[in-house]
Amino acid sequence: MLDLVEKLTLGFRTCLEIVWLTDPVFGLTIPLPVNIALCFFGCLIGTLIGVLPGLGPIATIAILLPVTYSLPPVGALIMLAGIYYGAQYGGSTTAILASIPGEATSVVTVLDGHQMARHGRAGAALAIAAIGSFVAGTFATLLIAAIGQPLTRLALLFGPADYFSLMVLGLLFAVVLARGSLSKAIAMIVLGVLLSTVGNDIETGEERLTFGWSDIADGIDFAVVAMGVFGLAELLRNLESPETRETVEGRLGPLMPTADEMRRSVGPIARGTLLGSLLGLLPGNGAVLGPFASYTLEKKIAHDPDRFGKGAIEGVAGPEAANNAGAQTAFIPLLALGIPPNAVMALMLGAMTLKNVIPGPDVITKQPALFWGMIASMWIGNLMLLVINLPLIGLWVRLLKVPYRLLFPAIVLLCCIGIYSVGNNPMDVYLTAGFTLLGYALLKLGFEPAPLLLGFVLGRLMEEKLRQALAISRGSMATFVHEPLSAGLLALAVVLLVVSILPAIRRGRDRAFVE
Amino acid sequence: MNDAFGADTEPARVAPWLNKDVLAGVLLIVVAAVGLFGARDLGGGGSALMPRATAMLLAAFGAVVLVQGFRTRSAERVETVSWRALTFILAAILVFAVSIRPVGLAFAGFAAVTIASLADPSVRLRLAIPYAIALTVASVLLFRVVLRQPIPLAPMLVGY
Amino acid sequence: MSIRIAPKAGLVPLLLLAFLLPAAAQQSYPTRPITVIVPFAAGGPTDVVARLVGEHMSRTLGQQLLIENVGGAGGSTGMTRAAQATPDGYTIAVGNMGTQSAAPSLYPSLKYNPATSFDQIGVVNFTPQAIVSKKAIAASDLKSFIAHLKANEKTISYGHAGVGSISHVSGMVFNAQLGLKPALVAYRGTNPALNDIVAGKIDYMVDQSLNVIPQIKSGTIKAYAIAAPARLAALPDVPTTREAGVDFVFSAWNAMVGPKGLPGPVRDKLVAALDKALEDPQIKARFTELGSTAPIGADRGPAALQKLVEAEMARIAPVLKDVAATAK
Repeated sequence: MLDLVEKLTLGFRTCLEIVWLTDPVFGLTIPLPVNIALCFFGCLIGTLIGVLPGLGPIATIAILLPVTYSLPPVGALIMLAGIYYGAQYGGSTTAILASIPGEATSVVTVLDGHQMARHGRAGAALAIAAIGSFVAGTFATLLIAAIGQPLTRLALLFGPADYFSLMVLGLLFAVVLARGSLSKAIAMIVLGVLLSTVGNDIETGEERLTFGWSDIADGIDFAVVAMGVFGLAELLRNLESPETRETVEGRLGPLMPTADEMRRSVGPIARGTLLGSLLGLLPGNGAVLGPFASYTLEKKIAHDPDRFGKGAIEGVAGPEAANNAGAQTAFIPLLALGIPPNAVMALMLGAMTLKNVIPGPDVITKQPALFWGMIASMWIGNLMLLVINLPLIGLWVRLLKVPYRLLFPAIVLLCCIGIYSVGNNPMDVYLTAGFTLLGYALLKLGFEPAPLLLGFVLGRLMEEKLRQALAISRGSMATFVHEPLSAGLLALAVVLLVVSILPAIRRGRDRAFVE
Repeated sequence: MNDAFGADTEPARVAPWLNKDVLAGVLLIVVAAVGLFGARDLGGGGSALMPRATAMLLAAFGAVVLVQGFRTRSAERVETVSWRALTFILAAILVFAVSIRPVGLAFAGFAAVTIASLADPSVRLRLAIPYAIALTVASVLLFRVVLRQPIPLAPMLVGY
Repeated sequence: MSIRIAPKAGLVPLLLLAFLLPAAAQQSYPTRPITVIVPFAAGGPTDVVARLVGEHMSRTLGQQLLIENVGGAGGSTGMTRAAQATPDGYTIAVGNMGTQSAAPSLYPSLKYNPATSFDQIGVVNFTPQAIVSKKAIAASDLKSFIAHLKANEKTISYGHAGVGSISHVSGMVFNAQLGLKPALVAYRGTNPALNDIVAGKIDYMVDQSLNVIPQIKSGTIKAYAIAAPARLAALPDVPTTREAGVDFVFSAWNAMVGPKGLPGPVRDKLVAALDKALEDPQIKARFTELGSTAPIGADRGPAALQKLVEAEMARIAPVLKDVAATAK
């Protein structure tokens, strides 16, 4: 424990390093905590860019990477961490305000966050997201500092077979996300999985479901699907009914969460933090599971699950905490093994490599100031998030007061530019139009888009892991029961199926008879 | 626009082509058929497994939803579609997609905003155009100048 | 619509004009920023190298080199766009071994030919492949490792980053040359595959040394040889394949190209700027840290690249024939 304090002290000392700047005009010497300033600017710019639809953390970091070229390694990495947190939170802001999830982890935030915004509680949703993120970030930072090394073993425990079984469990949980018709919800998950198989097969190189269209040979981008079926389809729905537009435009309650809302958020934040921290450790972007798992859990244990999807603050607090905790613990495999678990971390690895810092166990022993400085900067980054965003909430909420007839053309333009800049390819924009049409049709026919996106995200991972496991076992399905971890997860899935699906089907049947 | 089909809550049968669940089922089955068609030539390794399995599952659920639609007596009518909003928003996105590379953001942005504005019947073109110009200039400044994104500006006029 | 905006609208055409003015002044190349298409996502090995070299070339040419990441279809989407761009020197590209040699074998409908659709500018860097395995394998050198792979043919698995990726192509060449028939396990990218090697779930991989140096150094995976003529400065203890008694040499490389038909002076300027960047001690040092090397002497320039592209296409095609057959 004392050891930990000592290391963290070293880290904070690195972060708080003060440079004396001499003002050229008056000759005054001013102390400037350079690294803190860099963290602040990173976080601020990250938030501002991350808010733009389509520009998630990956795009934001890629855009701002050149800014860090001229900085010393410690400062550059601290600034990058700030940009990462800022962009992450900026994405949640767009999810809440405009119903556009910038990336997979903020899909869940849309569900209740945007509903809160429509009921004039956008400020509370944004504030609880910031507070939840801060709490989760603090916990996850301590976790990394204290037991980061042993935790990497968890990342290595999950082989392809175990991972596949976890995905099966995850998809079963996903059914709980659904409102309304169960068969429609499952159909949406299945459709999402089907869409995820589009593109070149990584095992055989065959083009699948591309109909000879080479622009989708690498698969459909998540942002395209999310922006179409969520953001733009929702925009169409807002346009057609004057009542919903009014709720988007006006009637703002208190900016900050009420005491009651805070009280109701404590449990979800704590649980979301734990779930997110664990799932964030998994290789291959396990962090996307965090918010979904948290939402499902909160809905399951709530006294009145009916409020979910209609603006329940628990449905924002828990997933946002899980999201940020996972974003944080995803650093563990990168720092301890040198293997980035997802695309953002791969980009961070690229940035570190450019700065001549090669992550891995070596960094901890050879450059302790840098390593612990980064850990400390993670916490400072989370603090900045709170410091910057609580005041910004007023500004964001004011955006909602802009008349919708001025707001929606701007959203359309930003979506187009954002989507185009994802791959600098106009085909992505065409595809977005297609998904807008699909999303609108689905809304009109009484489908929920959230399970579709979940299926889309998990489906790709699930198929990969299934086929990796089968390749390793040379085609034997028995591998899923022979691997103890996988067997346990599958057993859990079966139990879940029996416990929760059967009564739902029975209920559905009863209702059909009553009506 | 919402009352095109009236508020008559008479529980009588809804015609199949207006029945929400029937249409939903049909949509799912059509998508599944497209999926199966697209996967018809797959064979190497396990590449066909997932697309075929999910397409068939989708068709099965489509059938379930379809049957539900026919059997439930209080079947819901499909919600009315706002053709105006749909047409203009999709047109805006498509025009942007067509023009962004050859003509550039200076035009694509302007066209997208102007066309999108028309989705709202209360918007006048006389005001939409200056607003579109303002938004386009702002987005050029933001993406091209501040963020230095490689988005074509007006290739035919300035070469990039 | 807000009415307040309307009176100011007259200013807008003036502002637009300000953007258009630079076109009026025509001077010698380059007069405006140059777009460098990188056919992969930002942050990957090709992107890192392109940014590194591009930044230096910007200083030489006096104009910014803007990196445009155009991912898709294993890099062929971006390279197709580069091949079809106007050959005025304002659109160039940095491709890699995959897009410039393997792609024709993998994508029969490819809209460019690496050997004929481009004006070559030059190789940017070579990154030798490393032969690595999970820690638990008892072999101590490359020969005994290969013996182990042959003895356990029924259970051995090879991890790669997807069909057409460098780890796939180099592995196929390695396995074909040594008569190995492992189970091929496909991942989306190198990192998840590497993760499963560290975790001991799969057996071995042939991958860019750049990707595996930290794991080799920390002892979480085993390295048997570097498939290059010389040892790597970053891994002085790992022998070359020749030293280990196996004749397998394989480097990943990145190369800068322009669309066919670049005007002579433009091409010369680009070649010279790339050369100057590759001479820069800082860039050399950075390459070394990345486990990679800049081409020297005869390996530099357009002619060397043209030869390399043709040779690699000829070597890779037969190995990928079976894969291409399933992909049609």
